[in-house]
Amino acid sequence: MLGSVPRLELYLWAITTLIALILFFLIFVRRLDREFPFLTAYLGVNLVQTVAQLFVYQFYGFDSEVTYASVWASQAVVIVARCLATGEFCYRVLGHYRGIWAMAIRILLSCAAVVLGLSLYFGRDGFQFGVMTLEMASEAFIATLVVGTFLFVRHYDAMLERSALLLGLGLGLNSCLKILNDAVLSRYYRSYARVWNDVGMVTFSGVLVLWILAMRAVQTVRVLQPELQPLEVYRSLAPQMNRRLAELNQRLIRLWKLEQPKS
Amino acid sequence: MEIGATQVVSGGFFIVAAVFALALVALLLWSFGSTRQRRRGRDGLAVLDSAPQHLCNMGPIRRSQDPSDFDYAMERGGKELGKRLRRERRNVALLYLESLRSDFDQLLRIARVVALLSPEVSSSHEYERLRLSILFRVRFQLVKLRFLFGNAAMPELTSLGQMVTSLAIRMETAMATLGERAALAADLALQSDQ
Repeated sequence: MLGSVPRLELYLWAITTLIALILFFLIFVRRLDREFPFLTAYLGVNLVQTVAQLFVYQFYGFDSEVTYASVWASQAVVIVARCLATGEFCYRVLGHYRGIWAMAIRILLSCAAVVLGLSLYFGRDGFQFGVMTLEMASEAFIATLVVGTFLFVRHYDAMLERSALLLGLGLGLNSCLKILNDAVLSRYYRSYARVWNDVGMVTFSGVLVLWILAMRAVQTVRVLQPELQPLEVYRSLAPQMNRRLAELNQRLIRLWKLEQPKS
Repeated sequence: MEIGATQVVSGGFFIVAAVFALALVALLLWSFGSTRQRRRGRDGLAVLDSAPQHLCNMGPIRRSQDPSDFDYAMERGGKELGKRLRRERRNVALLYLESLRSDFDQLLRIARVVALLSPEVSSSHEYERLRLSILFRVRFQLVKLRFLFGNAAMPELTSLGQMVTSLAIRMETAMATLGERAALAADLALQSDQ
């Protein structure tokens, strides 16, 4: 059965699997599996899916219902594993800042849930079994979490390790490019079906290389965590700052209207 | 896939999905680039050492905006001198406005550091500060345009500067007090460990 697969696709599949194996072993060689348990689990699930797909394609072919159901069911497991890896990334970046993390995770999950819901709702008229819509919605959920985390880092000027930066970049790009790839396939199935898988594998290979760089960049020496200040610092300063910032805004309005200041 | 592909998604959904994905990629690369390029800010509360400092410029700025100087120059030196003086006054006012903005930005940075290092933050405070900073930036640009193309009353600009400075002074006082409390808390923690 696998002999009927175009050579390019087979080579891409082999290269992607090889890179994934290199990353998987790198994590264990550097003993990073405890630091990145969910990422490690995701890579493991991905590799298991590859092996399972080989058997399914070999014994059932590409067009059977068994193949369709098993491949997409395994893809659901892979996506759940990647969601957990994304959560691990978000916590690794913002978790040190307890106050910001408590606020950010609520905002990020709310936004991501809204994006997921809207994607499912507006994509409901798509494919008969909705697998592509489900995948796009899931990827939109993950991408929203990743981009939202980066925006929080930028807004608060939080410290960001190079390894986390590359890990997040890989997660975000992977999801965004998957959405684009799936959207094009959903719209132009007949002409795009032949290259959809190839594009997906090339993209994923690039992401795996980013993650290899990320794992190599993980600091072996423990970086000092930020020292949190007493709660009263924030509680006393934040309202004062906001009040003054509001007054500054009022002054700008008066400056604009050229009214006399109220002293 | 052929089994499930009984119909394609609508054009509208395709466009929205594509635009959404591209927008996320753009945001991702923008925040990635900003994070890499930004100079490492000072860690922790050390950023408070660079609180706004423009108060020393307030007196000269105020004196330079005295309209009687302009009238005198026009009367004694002619139209050209008056125009040049007006132009230079406007440039000085614009520079001062820029310094106000940098002071505002510095205060925002300090507020962010305080929030970052707090074990608990209030969503309403954070949202309020975000809203105020966006409003300030928009209004600042409008005031700047007003200075460039019209006449803004200088007393308002002076009082704006006074407000930024008084905020900085109050914040420094508050941080000095809280620094003492933090030191006391650290001593207490040390004693309890022993």
